[in-house]
Amino acid sequence: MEEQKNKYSVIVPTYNERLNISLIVYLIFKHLRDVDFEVIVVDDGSPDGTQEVVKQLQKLYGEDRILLRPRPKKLGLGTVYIHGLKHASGNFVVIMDADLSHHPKYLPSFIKKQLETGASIVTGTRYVKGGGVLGWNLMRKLTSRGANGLAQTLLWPGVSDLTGSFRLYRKSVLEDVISSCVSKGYVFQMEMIVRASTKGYHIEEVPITFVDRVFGSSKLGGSEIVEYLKGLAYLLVTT
Amino acid sequence: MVGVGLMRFPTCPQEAVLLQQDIAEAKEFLKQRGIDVVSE
Repeated sequence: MEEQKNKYSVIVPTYNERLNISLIVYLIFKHLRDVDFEVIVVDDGSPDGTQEVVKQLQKLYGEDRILLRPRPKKLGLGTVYIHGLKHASGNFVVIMDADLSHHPKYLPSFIKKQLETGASIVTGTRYVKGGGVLGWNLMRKLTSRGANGLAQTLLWPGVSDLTGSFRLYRKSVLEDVISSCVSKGYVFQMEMIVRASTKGYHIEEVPITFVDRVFGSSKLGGSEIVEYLKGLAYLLVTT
Repeated sequence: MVGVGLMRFPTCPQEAVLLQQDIAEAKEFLKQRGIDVVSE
């Protein structure tokens, strides 16, 4: 059981999340009342005024609790983590989507699981009892299940949900794992878990529910399948 | 094997309702404090 005071840095990448960012900040503050944390918004130059909303939120919640660390344009998810890490003062890092598909109500369960087990990584899984997905049609479920099944068969990381991105990391572990990852998109999510597993880091899971895009436009396109297969092949060869 | 997984794919329709409640609560709170929560 860790006796040190823990601080949690919640990194939220944004692109055109003008409405969602205030909703998610509200929910984070609601569910982490007795926790020492900060929210780091990494905005990639949103044209919709996301940063202006973040500044309003800073006035409300405090500039020490909400950090705005923008970038000039869309630079990819992997570099968001690296960028966010530079500004994170916590010893634990949570990374979550801004679009409300990751609900902040699960944050206490991530934290609790880590404290109970001493794990280096706690990952949210949508595929166990207590978890689930809403808003995916049959095709999407099939591809997701197939993708995870395929990845598990080939890579055996011992984690039930490989492509999920709602995770809590010990900061030092995230820094170590990220330095050896080169993939993009959700293959990057898979690569992080596979690398961490290979390096022998203790990984735990908690069930989460995932509600697909409520506000805003989805960023998933058709070429993802090709990228996914390429990424999987890469991981097979290099891990 | 994928077929079995598909049949047991957990879905959570009640989550949409809960989420809508959370969103309404958040909007109310933020609007009162001058945060811009107008949807497009």
